[in-house]
Amino acid sequence: MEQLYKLFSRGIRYYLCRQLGPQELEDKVHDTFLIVVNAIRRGDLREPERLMGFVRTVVRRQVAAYIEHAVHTRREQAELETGISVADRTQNPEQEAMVKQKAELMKSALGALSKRDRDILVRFYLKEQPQEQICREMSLTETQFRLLKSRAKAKFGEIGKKKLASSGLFSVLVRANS
Amino acid sequence: MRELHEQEPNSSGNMQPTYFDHPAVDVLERFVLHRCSEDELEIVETHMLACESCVCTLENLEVEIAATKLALEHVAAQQQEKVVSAEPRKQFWRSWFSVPTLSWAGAGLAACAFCLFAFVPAGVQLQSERGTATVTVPEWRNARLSLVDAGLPAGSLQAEVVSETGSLVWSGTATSTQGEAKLDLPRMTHPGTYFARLYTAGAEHELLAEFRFEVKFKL
Repeated sequence: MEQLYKLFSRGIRYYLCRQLGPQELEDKVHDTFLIVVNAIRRGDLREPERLMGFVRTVVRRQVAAYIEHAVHTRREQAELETGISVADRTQNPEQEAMVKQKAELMKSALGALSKRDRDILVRFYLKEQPQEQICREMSLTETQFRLLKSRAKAKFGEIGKKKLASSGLFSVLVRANS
Repeated sequence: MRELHEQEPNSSGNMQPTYFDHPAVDVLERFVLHRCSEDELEIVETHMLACESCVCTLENLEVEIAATKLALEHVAAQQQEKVVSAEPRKQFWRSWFSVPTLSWAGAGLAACAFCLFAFVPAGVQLQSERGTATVTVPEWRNARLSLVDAGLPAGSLQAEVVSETGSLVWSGTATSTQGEAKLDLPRMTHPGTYFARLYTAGAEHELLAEFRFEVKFKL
């Protein structure tokens, strides 16, 4: 039981938080574990090597159930408490601060990239264009795209790291990331 | 668990990654960006639920991607601002060459020219020696006459300007120093020949010198 919790707790927490937001996260994680453990005890998991897939199915069903409940609640209680089921999608204050700090450094690093490298990053991350569209419009093969994107990111990261090091924030971020 | 690159065969020998292989960073990035296909999603989700290191990578990727997007948004906004601010500047210069502006500019220049013409006195020097040369004073302009004669006494003198027929046009005083008397003439509004005369100050009113000049319109 302890091993099971140790193995899956972080992944389940991450998955639920990503799908449903941070509200009542611990309760949701606990509920999911209860379902998994009870199912195992009942012998519902017939092939133990399928445990990972089984846990995934349970988590997905939990997410679906929470969403359905939220939709139902919203429909039933719309007049009384609008917004009760609206999940807070924002990051926590620490993450928010980290993102802003990194973004400031990245801004200056972006200026040092070539136009093509920057264009690839803008199209992929900002305009959320699919890879095929970027390749077509920029006359690139898939391999070229992958290579250019990873190079641009590497260059971007390298410049960012230099800026971080010079601003003395590197150690702070390393500590925060670890 | 081990890292499996996208095209690398897994431990069972086929090209399909299993739940036990770490997905490549590209795949994890697609997962964060919600761009995984159904098959890929199944593999990543199943693996990630039991892999702390991949969850850690995903969390870092989320921060990285959010920061990248934020920075790209800032840069894109700055570029947009530059384009927008460059456009009005162009329009500003172009607006100088519109018909109303040019008309006003022309009117302004004309007003300046008129002021110059009307209020700045024209400097004219007259010599007492008679000759064939005629000195012209511009019509409709104030003029400052320098009347040069070596025999002029220093001090205040009486001055007169008379027309060709001898009628008085202007009279006043002029100050003479070192054989040169200066007098400020009002606007001469009629063309023709005129004479500037200098007399001694006082009751005797003795003619000292006479200078001939023409009044003509000229710019």
